[in-house]
Amino acid sequence: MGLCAEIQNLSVSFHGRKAVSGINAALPSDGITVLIGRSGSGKTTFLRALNRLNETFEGYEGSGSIRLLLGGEMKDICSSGTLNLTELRRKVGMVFQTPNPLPLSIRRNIMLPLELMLGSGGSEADEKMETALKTTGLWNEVRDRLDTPANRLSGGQQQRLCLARALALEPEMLLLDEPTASLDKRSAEQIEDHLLFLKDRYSIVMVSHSVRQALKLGSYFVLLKNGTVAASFFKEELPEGKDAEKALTDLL
Amino acid sequence: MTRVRLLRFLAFLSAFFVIGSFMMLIGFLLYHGTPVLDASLFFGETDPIDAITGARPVWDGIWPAFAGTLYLIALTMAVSLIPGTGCGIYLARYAKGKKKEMLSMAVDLLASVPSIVMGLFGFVLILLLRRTFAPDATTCISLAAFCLALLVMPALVVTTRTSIESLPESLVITGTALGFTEHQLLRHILVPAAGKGILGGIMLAMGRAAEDTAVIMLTGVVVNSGLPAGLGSKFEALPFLIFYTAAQYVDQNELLRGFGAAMVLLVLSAGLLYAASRLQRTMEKRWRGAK
Repeated sequence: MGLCAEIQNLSVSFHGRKAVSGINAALPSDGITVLIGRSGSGKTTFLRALNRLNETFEGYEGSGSIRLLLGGEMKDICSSGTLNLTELRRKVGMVFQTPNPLPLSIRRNIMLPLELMLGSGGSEADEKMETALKTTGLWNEVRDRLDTPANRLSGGQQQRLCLARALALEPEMLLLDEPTASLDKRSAEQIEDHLLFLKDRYSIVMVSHSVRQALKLGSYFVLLKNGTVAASFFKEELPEGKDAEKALTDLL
Repeated sequence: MTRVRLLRFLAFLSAFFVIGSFMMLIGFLLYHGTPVLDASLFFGETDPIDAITGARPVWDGIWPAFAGTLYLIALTMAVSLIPGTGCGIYLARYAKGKKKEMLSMAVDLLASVPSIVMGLFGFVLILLLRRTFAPDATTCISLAAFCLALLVMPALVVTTRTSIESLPESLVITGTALGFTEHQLLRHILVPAAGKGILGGIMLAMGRAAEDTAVIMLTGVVVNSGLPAGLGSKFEALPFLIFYTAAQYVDQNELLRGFGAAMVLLVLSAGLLYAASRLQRTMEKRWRGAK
């Protein structure tokens, strides 16, 4: 089994309050890894450790080592020198719980990061934008109004735009923090289908609030309780069919 | 129910008071100022082309004061714009803990200095220079601009800081998660998103520089100097001209010229405001990329 992430002894606290402590985990590179647990169990902090986003929050303190599969080899992302923060965050794209388009037009939302991070411009950037929007099924919906403000899109469309924005930067890994939590059922299903389609191309680690969604998408699960890993298992280790949902709910 | 009604009535009354006072002021100025508003108000007997190019001096027009005020605003903004907004950005994004507290207290203190004291400071500064390494130093337009810059800087700092700090936290997180450096975040997201607020501060500063009389009175403004000849020369300015006319007019014509000057100052300020907001809207449109 190949790994996409190896976390050793990860501890993070904010203003002296422990968010996660002593986390050890090895996430497989195939399929989607789902982090489950009650709210406040440290799922989001775990996820944000993977692109070192925790460090931008006030009162952060952390220790431990994290190695990610980037460019075909496991790289230590915490020690300086191997790769800088900017490069790490481009290669490890992130989608948040609430859609967070920038207050720009649909086109600029994808183009600005492209210009700044990859230095692309002109027709090359146009192509990248089109590909990303097609991958998330948004192209046909927005191709005629690329220059309208992105916040006029529906919640589901905004979330797919955010996914497209992350994809346009040619990441190797995707982090998703309850990406459908703020969406209606239909939009949520749309996103889920796209994720299933994307899982063969990217290593995906996601936090999910719903057992149903976790079972639909996940192939490996990490259960967090009070900031530590309580259990981790493959989907095959769960009972078949309807019982899986019950088993997972019981674990929580 | 009645309390709600009363509150609404009071709110309406307050709004009416503001609008009413504004209309009265404008009406008063228009009534007295408009009749004298023509080329001779600006240039007197001098040919306008000669006056504008400075080929011939203007004796009984407000043109030199008008030009002096424009010159003064430009110089003041040149001195204060970058340190003012820069300090605001520093306070909003970089400064932490004790340093931040001290700096914002210094800005607050600077904001509370009355303009006449700022003028005195400029005056004393010149005395000091004369006694030390520049015995020929004298009050002049660059000294006035420097003191005015000190006066308007706090407005720039505070508006820049608050408009950046009041942006949603998600903008910072979004940009950071996309891999933007702090510099890119500021240059491409935060400053443009706060543009309107920052512009508000710039307009406030320009307005203050246009109308302040106390500072320039002690730092180089004179009644009659013609167009400002250079950075080290005396100058005329509209607010001082108005002040002087109101205090010293000898006949009705001179008083009317004062009203004309007040009108012109008002129009000048409004024009600057309009130009600045047009510029801001164009820049914001380009940033957002939305048609």
